Amino acid sequence: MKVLVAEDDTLIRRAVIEVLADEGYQVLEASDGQTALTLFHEHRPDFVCLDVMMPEVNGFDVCRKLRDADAEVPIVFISAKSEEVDKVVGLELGADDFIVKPFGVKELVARIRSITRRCHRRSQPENGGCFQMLDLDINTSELRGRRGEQVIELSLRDVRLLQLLHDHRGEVLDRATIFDRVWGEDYFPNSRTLDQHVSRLRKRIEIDPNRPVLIRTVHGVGYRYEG
Amino acid sequence: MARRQVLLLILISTVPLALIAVLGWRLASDEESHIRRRFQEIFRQQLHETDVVIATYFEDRERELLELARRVSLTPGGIREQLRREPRVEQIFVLDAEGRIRHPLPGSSLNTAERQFLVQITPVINDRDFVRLANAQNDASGESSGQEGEVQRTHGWYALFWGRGVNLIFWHRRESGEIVGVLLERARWIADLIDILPQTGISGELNQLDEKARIRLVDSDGSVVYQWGRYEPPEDQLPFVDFSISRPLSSWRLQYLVAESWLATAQPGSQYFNILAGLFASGVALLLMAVVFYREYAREMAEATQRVNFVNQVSHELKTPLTNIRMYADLLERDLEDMPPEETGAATSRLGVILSESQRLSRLITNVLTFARQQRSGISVRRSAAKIDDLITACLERFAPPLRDKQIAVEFDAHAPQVVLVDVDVLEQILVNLFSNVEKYAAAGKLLKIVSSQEGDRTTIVVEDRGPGIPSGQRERIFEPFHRVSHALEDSPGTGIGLSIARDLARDHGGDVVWEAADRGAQFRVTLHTPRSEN
Repeated sequence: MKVLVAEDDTLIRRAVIEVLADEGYQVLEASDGQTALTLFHEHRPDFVCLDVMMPEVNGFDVCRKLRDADAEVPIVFISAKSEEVDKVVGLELGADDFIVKPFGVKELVARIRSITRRCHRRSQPENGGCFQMLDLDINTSELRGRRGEQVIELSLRDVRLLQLLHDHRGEVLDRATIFDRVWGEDYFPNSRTLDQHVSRLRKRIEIDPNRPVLIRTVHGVGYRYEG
Repeated sequence: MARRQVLLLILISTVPLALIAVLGWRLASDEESHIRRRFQEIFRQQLHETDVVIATYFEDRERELLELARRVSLTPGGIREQLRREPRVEQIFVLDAEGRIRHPLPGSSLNTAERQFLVQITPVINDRDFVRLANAQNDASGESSGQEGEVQRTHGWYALFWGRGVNLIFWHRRESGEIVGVLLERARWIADLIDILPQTGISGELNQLDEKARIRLVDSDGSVVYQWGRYEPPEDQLPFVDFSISRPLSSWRLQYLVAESWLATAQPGSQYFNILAGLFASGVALLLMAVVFYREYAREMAEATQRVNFVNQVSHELKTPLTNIRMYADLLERDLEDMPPEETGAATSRLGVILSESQRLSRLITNVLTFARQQRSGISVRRSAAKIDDLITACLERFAPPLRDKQIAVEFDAHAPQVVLVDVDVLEQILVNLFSNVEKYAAAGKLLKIVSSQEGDRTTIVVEDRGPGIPSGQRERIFEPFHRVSHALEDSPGTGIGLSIARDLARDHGGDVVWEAADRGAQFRVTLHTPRSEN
């Protein structure tokens, strides 16, 4: 999924991009409203994160123009303005959510996943994309796994990785394949990135992360789901 | 300036003025009436003295006439002889005991004057007025025969109206029963009266009155018989004092006329001026006070607005760096999670402090901005569908690190699973403020207990701790902005607006936050109006 992030504060923009990329999104970045509009028309992202106060064209104007071009694309405002009127204006302009600064990574992730679920629901109204890995039920459109009563929040990348392993049950998937399929062709591979991601994912989906059964390590090669 | 305050200002300025005006006017009016009454009493006394002079004159005449009536020969010759000798007497008539006329006897030889008199007196005689008077019981105007029981008058005055006005008749009943009537010469007794009344000038206690007053002797037709005093009143001027003269001239009046201009100066009319001047001065003073008050108020309001705007602006400006601190601290935490513990050392716990403090700062900024917004324009509630228990869980998750650091155990008794319409931000801010208080002030109790429940359109969340609790005298004051419980001042941070904001937000959401009695610690009950979501 492609996400356009338009934010004039470089540090926030970088952090948001890092979080989104880590979640598994392909991120387009813009530091002003005009660039955001240009990038949107060139790449047609799946959703847009907009700062309200931006040079050139402000977030509300960008939102208005985006809505003229595409009535469906989800738009999330990121703003320091928490005034009621700003929220109302933003939402009336057709924004889907309003993330108010200051926020942390967890809040940003939660909101982004919520938007992604909405996108999936729109594209897969029949709740398609469910699969099972042992006792873990994974719903790709909901970005959630369920083990009994336990609900596990997953990122887009988590779901893709689990889907890949599930689809190649019993096979050993090497790092290059996983990078290529889960991170995308543009991503410059880094062995620690994959291991760290798998490590974090195991902490959430494995009953005992030290003795993983869903994602097993094949030393020197890659990972495997035995089913 | 709010309309209510303007109204208050106007009331503060005008009500005292109006009260002073009304009371002052009434006082002056009462004083004026009082002084008029006093003048009237003084002038009435003067008229009474004049009346005594007139009465004395008639008493003298009465004595003379009684003597005359007693001794006059009742023959026509004797009567005519008496008339010649008495210039004050015009005619004499005699009635027998039954009231029949004996002189001037109709049909006898009478002179012109007697005939004319007979014409005038006959109707009165026929009406038996004198007989009735003579038979009537005694009163102050007549003398009795000296017998008890059937006391009858022996003499008296009778006013007969003919010709130019009142004519006075003195009558006497002799012991033999005849009634002798004596008609006074009108011109003579009027001349006598004028002679005994003051020639000119009105003396009295009041200076310069002669110039400004006039006393009139007015007959029964209202015509002026005599007047003194140099004041020339307008024709339509009413008398200041109107006094009835004693008998026998009781149809005549003495009137006292005073120039209104003199009355106005003699009266404390200047009181009205004084009142008006006082009112004007008070009005100006109040107006000045109102202007000063308004300017002071406007200045303070402008300063307060400036301060609020400044705090608002600073708080907004703090948001971007704070977002960066939180985001990068989160990312750093994530990096540290991927490293073996032996490599991270104390970094994880130090980062925990950064995260926890940056979250505290976030809450502080949110509270400051919410408070400023409430002061400025109030909060409008935007409801969306959510589960209360999920929101509480999410909020608790966010609070987990500081609670864990202070070893505060969390118990959540969740009974609000329905999807309801709630303003997520409002609920979160209420809970954050309550949890934050537990963390700051009740950490010693080591417990944060939350019980949620739903009934109809209402959701209730009880938040309790085992801390030192709220002192009994401060259980309502803790909801006032900037109030802080004294024992918490020394070592706990805070602005004192958390509970105030929580209560205001809950009230905006159709509910409330109240303190509840508990065996130990503090307990707060949050109620919210949460209609069921139809979706």
